[in-house]
Amino acid sequence: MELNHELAQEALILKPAGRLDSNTAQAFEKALLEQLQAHPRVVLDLSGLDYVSSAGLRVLLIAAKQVKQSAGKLALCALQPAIHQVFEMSGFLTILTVCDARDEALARVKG
Amino acid sequence: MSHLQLELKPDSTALVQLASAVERFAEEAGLPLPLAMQLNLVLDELVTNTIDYGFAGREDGYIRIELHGEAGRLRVDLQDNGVPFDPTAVPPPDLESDLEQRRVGGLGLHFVRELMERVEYCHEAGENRLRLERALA
Repeated sequence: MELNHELAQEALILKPAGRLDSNTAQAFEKALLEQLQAHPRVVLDLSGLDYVSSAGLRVLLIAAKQVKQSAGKLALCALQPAIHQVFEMSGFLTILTVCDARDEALARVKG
Repeated sequence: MSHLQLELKPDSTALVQLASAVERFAEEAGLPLPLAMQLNLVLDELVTNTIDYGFAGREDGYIRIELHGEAGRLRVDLQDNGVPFDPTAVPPPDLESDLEQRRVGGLGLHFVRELMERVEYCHEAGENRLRLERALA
């Protein structure tokens, strides 16, 4: 899988693309946690993420905990329907900041 | 009637082979895309568990999967020769705590239970045997 990034309005936007499963989770975890240490405000745009398993959710949970501990801000946006369903089953929609649109997510990490 | 049999070795190629096999089966059985993805997720979680914990470096490990669609029902049989492990005996994960308290892990088998209607386990002839069933729609 890929992890593209860009800067917008004082926030880092990360766009993981492809499949986030037990084959790819470890490399994604390393790359994501490095970016989160360097940037206090991060939006994860998941529009390119086609698939996530519990191995990928584990990484997102660890990332959200790290951001909370360091008083940063993290918002997720643009989940594909299948990904949204997996988040819902996991109870992640209530513990993570999940938005429909990227602008909304940017507003949440700036606030 | 649709039918597919697959044998996986417990290595890093297993999930890729699994995903393409599920795709073939889904096409043949005319599964709607969301159901195909759910089936892939369920099998991914079970296969990943078996690979991570089942074989402890053994070389002779195998995971056999049989998918069967008939009369509106989907049946999945999994057999592996890893250490005995009953996924139906694992307690449900914590889905209620807030972010700081939420435990990392345990979601995989939760997906299996949520997405399948029946999950039956037995250990027989040196194999873990798991049968899963649900409606094909």
